[in-house]
Amino acid sequence: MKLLKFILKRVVVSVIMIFCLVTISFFLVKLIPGSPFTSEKMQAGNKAAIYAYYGLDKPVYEQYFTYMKNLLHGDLGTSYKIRGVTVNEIIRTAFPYSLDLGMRAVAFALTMGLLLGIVAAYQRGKAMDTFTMIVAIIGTSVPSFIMGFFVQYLFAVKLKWFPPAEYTSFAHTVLPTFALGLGMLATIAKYTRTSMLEVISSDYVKTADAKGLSKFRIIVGHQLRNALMPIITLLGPMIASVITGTFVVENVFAIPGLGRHYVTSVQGLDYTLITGLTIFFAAFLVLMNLLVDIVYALIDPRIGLVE
Amino acid sequence: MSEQILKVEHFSVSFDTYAGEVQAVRDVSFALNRGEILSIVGESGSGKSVMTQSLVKLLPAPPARIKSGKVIFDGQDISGYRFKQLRQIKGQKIAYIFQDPMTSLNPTVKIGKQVTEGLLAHASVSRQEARRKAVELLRSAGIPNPDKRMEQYPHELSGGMRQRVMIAIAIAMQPQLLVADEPTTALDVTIQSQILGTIKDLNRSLGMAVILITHDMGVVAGMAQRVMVMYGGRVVESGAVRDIFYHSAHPYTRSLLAAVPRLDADSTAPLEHIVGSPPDMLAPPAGCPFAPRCRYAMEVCRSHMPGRTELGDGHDTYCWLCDSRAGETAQAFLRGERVVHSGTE
Ligand SMILES: Nc1ncnc2c1ncn2[C@@H]1O[C@H](COP(=O)(O)OP(=O)(O)O)[C@@H](O)[C@H]1O
Ligand code: SF4
Ligand SMILES: [Mg+2]
Repeated sequence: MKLLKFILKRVVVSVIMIFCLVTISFFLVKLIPGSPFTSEKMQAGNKAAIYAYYGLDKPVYEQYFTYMKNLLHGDLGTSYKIRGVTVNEIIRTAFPYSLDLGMRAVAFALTMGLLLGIVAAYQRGKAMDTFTMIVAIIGTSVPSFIMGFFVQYLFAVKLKWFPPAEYTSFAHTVLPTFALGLGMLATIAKYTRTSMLEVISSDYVKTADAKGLSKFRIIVGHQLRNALMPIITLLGPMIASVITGTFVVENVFAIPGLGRHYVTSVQGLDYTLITGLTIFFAAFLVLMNLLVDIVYALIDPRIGLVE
Repeated sequence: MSEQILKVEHFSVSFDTYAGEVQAVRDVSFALNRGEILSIVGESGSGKSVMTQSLVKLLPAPPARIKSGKVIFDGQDISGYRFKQLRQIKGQKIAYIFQDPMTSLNPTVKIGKQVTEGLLAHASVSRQEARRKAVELLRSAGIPNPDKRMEQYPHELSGGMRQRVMIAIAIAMQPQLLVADEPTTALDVTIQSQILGTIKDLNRSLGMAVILITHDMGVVAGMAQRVMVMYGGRVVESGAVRDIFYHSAHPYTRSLLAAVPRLDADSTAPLEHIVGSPPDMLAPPAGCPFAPRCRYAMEVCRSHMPGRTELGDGHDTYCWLCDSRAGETAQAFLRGERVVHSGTE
């Protein structure tokens, strides 16, 4: 019951958040100087016709209400730049690429990050610990697009181990996954290490040891369990960083995902596409955060939602 | 069967830190009889916890390192035991209760599981049997509604209740030795005496020897048969409770006793009002660790470690004042103290 109330509350807050976001982004894009249809070749009559066609001749508040009404039906509008294509269609075709890349990056970052962090903590001060520290520093300080260019140059252009661009086979996924996931991997490794060290020297682990439990029981039942729990809270911000990461990494590797559309839509002032993608990303992010919070509340008894 | 359950000889433990070697425990020797309650007292930082936890290697190594010494438990030298062998001792024969009940239970694991996992690790019992036994244990540790508690998490229990859970965990296998490391320091006074009462009852009913570490001389008087005073990682005096209270021969013990509040005052007041602070164990003094704070310190105290002086009936002290070679002034300090035999090592 408590859990249901918690979820309901979070859902309501999420909906309000998304509503505010839609409103803000709708008006913000209008403030960007320039217009989507500024081209020397375009004649004045054409321009008026196009404006009328897209409803841009109406007052802004009216445009807003029309937009909101369509949004309630799940319609994000039509792109101004890619003729005759709706934002919904763009998302439908491009999002699977982004989702695939994002999930690969998260999976890579999670498994490797946890592994490195745990090993580093148990091998404190030894070679693996130093290695993890170096990875953490590189991963958190080098932005993903620089990492992208770097691995593309080294492993695709120079060494020719992997294809440099596109996204059609497993080999194509390796470099972008690495470039996108490394930052997260570093964050996870760093947090896991700290968290593990804290837990290893905690009183309750000493209690477990004093009971005469086996190493396995101590590590799995008391150390990992407690050390990894707070890592779940990192997943929210991590997913956010993956999403922003895809924008640039997809461009570097010419992957036909949503991120690339986002960049081109901003460059071309494609109002509906910018707003539509912003809403989509925001909703996705809010949903992910909601899921993470629920999962965390479910597994950590201290939050008090577990019966 | 030997009368002694535990005998510790020349036990030294250090921590290897970036700043250098912290010599937390230095050359500690003592023995404990079956069923006896020995109290270890001394200001915080004197090495009580490190010493007792190192007996079964509970401290992560590194940084902890047992430098030397023998630990003879129930006739067996366990000082060379590795993790696997120590599992037969830990929880089964020697059990621990730690100072802070708020942190010594795992916050994410139900009480029930924390009690049963010890049972399942040692006895070949089914889960149901372990559960039934756990309920029983919680009850004998003085916990009301043990069935309900089994399903609760530590944060749902008060400090006193959590310490009782720790007691239940500790007595699960009917250990021969219970190490209670300041079990009531974190609790309020009424809960304190209840918990101590429970420990004393278990000591009697199970014949379980107890090492009771405490700050509180008042607790010592009510609980222990013998006392060991530690300072700067070393034993400075030990003996029967009566001898320590009425005939203490060591200036440090005397200041501890002088710092004991009167009956009418709050008995939880800390003992820290001995002028000065304990020595830095990174560079402990060459001579008597108490010398920098001792009113009676002599030249020899600063340069040479005092040896053991046996005062009879197992009353030993480590102070130059009691040394047979000490001058008249020193003897005067003892003011009619009975000095049966004096000698240095
Ligand atoms: N992990 C550690 N690293 C370095 N020094 C430590 C560590 N744990 C304890 N010590 C030192 O060992 C000494 C004895 O500590 P402890 O046994 O906890 O004292 P007590 O229990 O008597 O209050 C103290 O000087 C303390 O600073
Ligand atoms: S040996 Fe010296 S310094 Fe140490 S307690 Fe005795 S008199 Fe004081
Ligand atoms: Mg202590």
